[in-house]
Amino acid sequence: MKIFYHCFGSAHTSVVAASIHVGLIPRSETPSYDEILALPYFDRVNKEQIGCPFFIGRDRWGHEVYTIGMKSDKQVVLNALNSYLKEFIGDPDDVFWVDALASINFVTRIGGYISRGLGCVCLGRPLVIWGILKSYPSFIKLVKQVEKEIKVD
Amino acid sequence: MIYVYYSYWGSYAAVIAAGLHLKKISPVRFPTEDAFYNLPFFGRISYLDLGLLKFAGIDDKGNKVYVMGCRKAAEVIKNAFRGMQKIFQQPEQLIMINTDLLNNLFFKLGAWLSCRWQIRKIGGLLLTWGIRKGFSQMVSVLKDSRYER
Repeated sequence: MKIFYHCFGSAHTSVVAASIHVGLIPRSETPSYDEILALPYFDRVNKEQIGCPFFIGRDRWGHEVYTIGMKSDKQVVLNALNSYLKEFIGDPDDVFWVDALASINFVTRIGGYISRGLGCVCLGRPLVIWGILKSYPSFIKLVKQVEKEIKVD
Repeated sequence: MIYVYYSYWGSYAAVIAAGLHLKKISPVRFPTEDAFYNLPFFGRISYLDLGLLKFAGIDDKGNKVYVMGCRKAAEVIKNAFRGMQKIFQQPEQLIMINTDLLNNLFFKLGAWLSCRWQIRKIGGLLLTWGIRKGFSQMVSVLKDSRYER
């Protein structure tokens, strides 16, 4: 199975959630500022790259974990991808979509906009990471929920 | 090869472009209103169906032709499709063609009224008027875009 964590720009929330899922950052404790910054693709995805799926790693059951950005028209992009999979790949059940924006807080949102939307990294990046560290438990909750659902499948 | 004609709503400009590709309407003469409404999905893609790939037919070279409404998410969807092709190792070439070429006010207002608010009577009138105004220009641009590939 392939698991896609999606958010607005695939630069922050989806990267953190996917990294927790594959075990790049710990679940038992909150990671440090530098650990978050060192994650693959974290705060490095350009506006033109939004929509490209990025491979983060494999989880302990061998599922491939990806991140993908969908901007604000989330439902339209999801419809498009699901119908694409149905038409050309055959089995859309092989793919599991997770909305990583469910675990975002206000500070991360603002920081993400300043860093990615306006391009002011020096101000946006610390805000994003501060916000993520603040709401880290909700990311862990999301990942645990996803793993539970996948196991049931 | 797979052709996807996309536009904002996916039920007018994209459908006409697919009809031209499949030779269901003539590029030379302006078609009648019935000819438009007989095209598959013309005015029948609802607000909730935006993003879904709708199969319009197979052209004379055996290529599949689809229409899609994708609001302003076209670039994101293009990237996403390209990525999926790589992940699932799809060898078939997928070509996405923008059909938002009817940039006149009549068409835009008509499409908005009938798609967003289901006001089909007035919307339909404005739409046909708008299509009539921009049809020849649309045909020439589409021709160019297909020759490029």
